[in-house]
Amino acid sequence: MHLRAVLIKQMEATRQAESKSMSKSNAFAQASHDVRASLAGIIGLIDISYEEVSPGSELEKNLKQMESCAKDLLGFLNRILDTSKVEAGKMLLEEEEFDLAQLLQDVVDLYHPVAMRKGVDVVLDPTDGTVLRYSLVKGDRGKLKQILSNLLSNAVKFTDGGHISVRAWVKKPSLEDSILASPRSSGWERLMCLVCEKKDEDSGDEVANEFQRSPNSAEFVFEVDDTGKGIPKEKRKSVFENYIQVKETAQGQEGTGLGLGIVQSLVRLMGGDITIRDKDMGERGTCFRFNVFLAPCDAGATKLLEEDLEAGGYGAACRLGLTTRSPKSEGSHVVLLIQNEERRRTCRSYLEKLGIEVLVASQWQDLPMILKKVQMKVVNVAYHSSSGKSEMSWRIERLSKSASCKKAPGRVRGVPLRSLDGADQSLPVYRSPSPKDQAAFVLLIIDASAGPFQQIFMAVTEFRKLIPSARCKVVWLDKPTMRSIDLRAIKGKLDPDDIIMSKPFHGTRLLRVIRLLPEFGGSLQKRPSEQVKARPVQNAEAAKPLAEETGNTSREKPLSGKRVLVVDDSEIMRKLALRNLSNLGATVQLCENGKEAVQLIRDGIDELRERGVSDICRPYEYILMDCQMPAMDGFEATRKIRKEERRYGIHTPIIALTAHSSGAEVKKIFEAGMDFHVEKPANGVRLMKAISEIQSRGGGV
Amino acid sequence: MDVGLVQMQRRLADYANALFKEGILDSQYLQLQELQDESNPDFVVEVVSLFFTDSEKLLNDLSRDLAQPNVDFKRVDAHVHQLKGSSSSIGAERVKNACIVFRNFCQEKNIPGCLRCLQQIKQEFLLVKSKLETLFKLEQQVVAAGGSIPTVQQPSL
Repeated sequence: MHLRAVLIKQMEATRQAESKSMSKSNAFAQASHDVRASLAGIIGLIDISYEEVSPGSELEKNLKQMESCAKDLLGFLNRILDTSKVEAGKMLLEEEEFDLAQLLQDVVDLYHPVAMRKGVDVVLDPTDGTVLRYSLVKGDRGKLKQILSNLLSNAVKFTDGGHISVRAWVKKPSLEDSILASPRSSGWERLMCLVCEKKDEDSGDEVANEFQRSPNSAEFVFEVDDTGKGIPKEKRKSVFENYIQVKETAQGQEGTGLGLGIVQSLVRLMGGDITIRDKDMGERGTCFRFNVFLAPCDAGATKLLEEDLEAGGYGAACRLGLTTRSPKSEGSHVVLLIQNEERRRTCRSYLEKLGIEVLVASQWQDLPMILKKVQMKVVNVAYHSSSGKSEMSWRIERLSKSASCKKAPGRVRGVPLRSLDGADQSLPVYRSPSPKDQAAFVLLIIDASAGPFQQIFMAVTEFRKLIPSARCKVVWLDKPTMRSIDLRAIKGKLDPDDIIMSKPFHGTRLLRVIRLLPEFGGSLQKRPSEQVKARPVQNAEAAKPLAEETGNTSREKPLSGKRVLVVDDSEIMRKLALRNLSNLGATVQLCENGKEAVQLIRDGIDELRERGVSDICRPYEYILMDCQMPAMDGFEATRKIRKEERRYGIHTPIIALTAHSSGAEVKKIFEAGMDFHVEKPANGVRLMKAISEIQSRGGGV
Repeated sequence: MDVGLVQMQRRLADYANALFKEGILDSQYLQLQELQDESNPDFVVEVVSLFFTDSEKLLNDLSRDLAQPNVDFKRVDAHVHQLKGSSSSIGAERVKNACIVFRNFCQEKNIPGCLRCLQQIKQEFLLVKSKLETLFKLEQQVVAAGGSIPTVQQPSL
C-alpha cells in the first residue's frame, strides 16, 4: 500500500518536472526568435558599413571584429535553439541525396588545419572501404554534418597531441537488427510505457519524433577517436546531458557545454545512438561511436548482401569502382613514408586490403633501406624475364650503361631495363617483352616533411636511377601553405611526372593515388622529358596553367640577337609587344601604321646596299603586323613589303595580329602574303609559338 | 614579420581576387603583371594609365560620333574596335564584352542600341577604373610599408 503511494507521488513529481521543462523549452524557442532577428540586423548593418569604410582603416578592423562577435553570438544562439527545438519535438529530418565519403572528407579537412596547429593529425580512416562503396546515400546531410563537426570540434579542443581518427563503415545486417526494425508497438515497449506512464504529448523525447526505418536503409557506424585527455568513466553518462562540461578538462576551453547533448538528440533522431567506447589498456583519449540509418542509393542495389561487405582484395577493389587491368600481372609495390603513425597505419591497412604490397618506412632514416628492398624485388623480376644473360654480365652492363648515360645525354636516357619496353634499339640483347615479363611498378608516397627534404630527395633520386622510369612514380605529400619542397634547392630536378599532393592524405586524394597503379587503371606513359630543364611540377591539387605557360624553360633567350619590327596603331599594344619581345631577347623597332612599316623596310634595305653588302638579307627577322590600322592597314602594307622584297629575293616572316580569326579573315591574311597569325592580345607565349612554327617550317632561323 | 604588413598584403590579395571572381579582370591582367619586374617596376601602372587616357578619348569620340545627324558607322566601328582591343589587352573583361555587343548593334546600324551600349561601356569602364585605382593604392601602401606585392593567382573557376 505504502509503496504504491510512493510510486504515484514519484510519478507525479516526474510528470510535473517534465512539464515545466517542456514549457521552458517552448518559451525559450519563442524568445530566441526575437534575439535572432536583432542579431541578423546587426550583421546586416555591419555589412553595409563596409562599403563606406576605407580599406585598412582602424574602423574597418573594428567592424570586422564586430561582425565576428555577432556571428559567434548567432552560433551560440543557434545551438541553444537546436536543443530547445529537439526537446520540443519540433525537429524534422530532411532527406536529400549526398555523398557520404565526400562529407566525411570535407569535415575532416575542415578541422585538419586547426588541429595541425596543435600538433594533432586528423586522419580519415577508410577501414574496410564499405563507406566508399556505398557513399551515395539518402538522409539528412546537414544534421549528420553537425554531429560530426561537434564531435570533431570537441576532439580538437581536448587533444593536444597525437591524432584524431574518424572512421566509418557499414554494418552487416544482423538478426537482432531485423527484430528491432519491426513495428514499434512490440510487447516489450508497451510494457515499458505502462510502467512509466509516458504520454506522447508530454515527453519531448525522441519517442514523439520516431524515426521510420525504411527497409532500404543500412546501418552506418561512425567513430571519432582521439588521443586526448579522455573522459573518466563515471562522467561518461553525464557528458550527454545539456550544460554539463567535464570540469577538470574544461579549463580555458570555451563552449556552452551543449554540444554533446545535441549530438545525442540528433543521433537518436536518425535512429541510432551514441556511446563512449572503452579503449585498450594504456591507450589514452576518448572514442565516441555512433550509428545512424541511411538509405544507400545505388542503381540496382536495394539490399546489402553479405558478400558485398566482405572487404579485401581484387573483389573489393572492383566494388570500390577502381577498375583493374589484369589481376595476374606482377603486383605493384608501394613504399610509404608518412610521419604520423595513425595515418601510416590506416593507409597501409587499406592498401593491403586492396591486395597491394606495402613497405613502410616509419622514419626517414629507414627510407634508403626500404628502397633497397624494393629495388631487389623489382630487379629480380626483371632479371628472370630477360633472355639468357648471366646475372654478372647483366649487372656490369647496367653499371656501365648508367655511367655512359651521363656522357651522352643525347642517346638513350635511363637504364637498360627500359629496353624491356622494346623501345631501345641500341640494346638488341633483350627480346621484346610479353606482358608477363614486365617489371613491377613502384609507387613511392613520401611525406615531404618527414625529414630533411634534401636527403630524402637524394635517396629517391638514387633509387630512381635503378628502376625504369616508366615503372616508378613518386607522390610527394606537402602542406599547401608551408611547402617543405624547395624547388630552388633541388634545382628544379623534380621529375615532370611526379605529383605533389596537398595534405591531408586521405579520401579522394588517396583514391586518386591508388588509381596511378597499373592494376587500377594507371597509365605507364611517360611525358617526353627532353625539353625539361626546370619544368614546373604537375600539381595534382590546383591547376597552375599560367605557371606552366610562361615558365622560362631555358636560360638563353629564344630571340636574342633578332630584330623584330612591330606595326600597331595602339600605343598599349606597342608597349606590350615591346615588353614581351624584349623579354624574349629581341631588339624591337616600333611603328604606328602600315605606311611607316613599308618605309622602314625600304630604309633598311637601302642601308644594307649602301654598306656594300653583296647578299642583301632581310632588315628584320620578323614583323608583327596589326591588321586594322589607319592610313595603311596590315594587308596593304604586307603587299607592298612583299613587292620590295621580291626585288632582292628576300622574305621576312610576317605575323598578323588579329582580333578574331574567322575563316575569311585568315584567308585574307594569307592572300596578302602574311605567314602566320596570332590572336590579340599577343603575349609572349603566343608569339613564341608562332615563331617556333615558322622556324620549324624552315621559314627563317 | 610585421603583422600590419601581412594584413595589408592579405587585404590586397583579397581585393585582387574579388576582381577576378567578379569578372572585372581576366587572366590577361595577370600577363601584364608577369611583364613587370625590377627593370620595369611600373609597367602595369603605365599600361593601365595609357588605357585610361586612350579609353576616355575614345568614349568621347564615340559620344560625339553617335550624336551626329548622319552617323558614320564605319568610324564608330573603328573606335569600338580600338577600345575592344585595348580593354582586352589589359584584361578589362567586362569592358571588352560590352564592346563586342556594341559592334553588333553597329553592324545593324541600330542607333538606340548603340547608345545604350555606349552607356554600358562607360559604366563598365568607370567601374574598372575605380577598382584598379584602388588596387594600385593598396599596392602602394604595401610597397611603402616595405613589403612586396603578393602574386595573384587566378582563382580556378
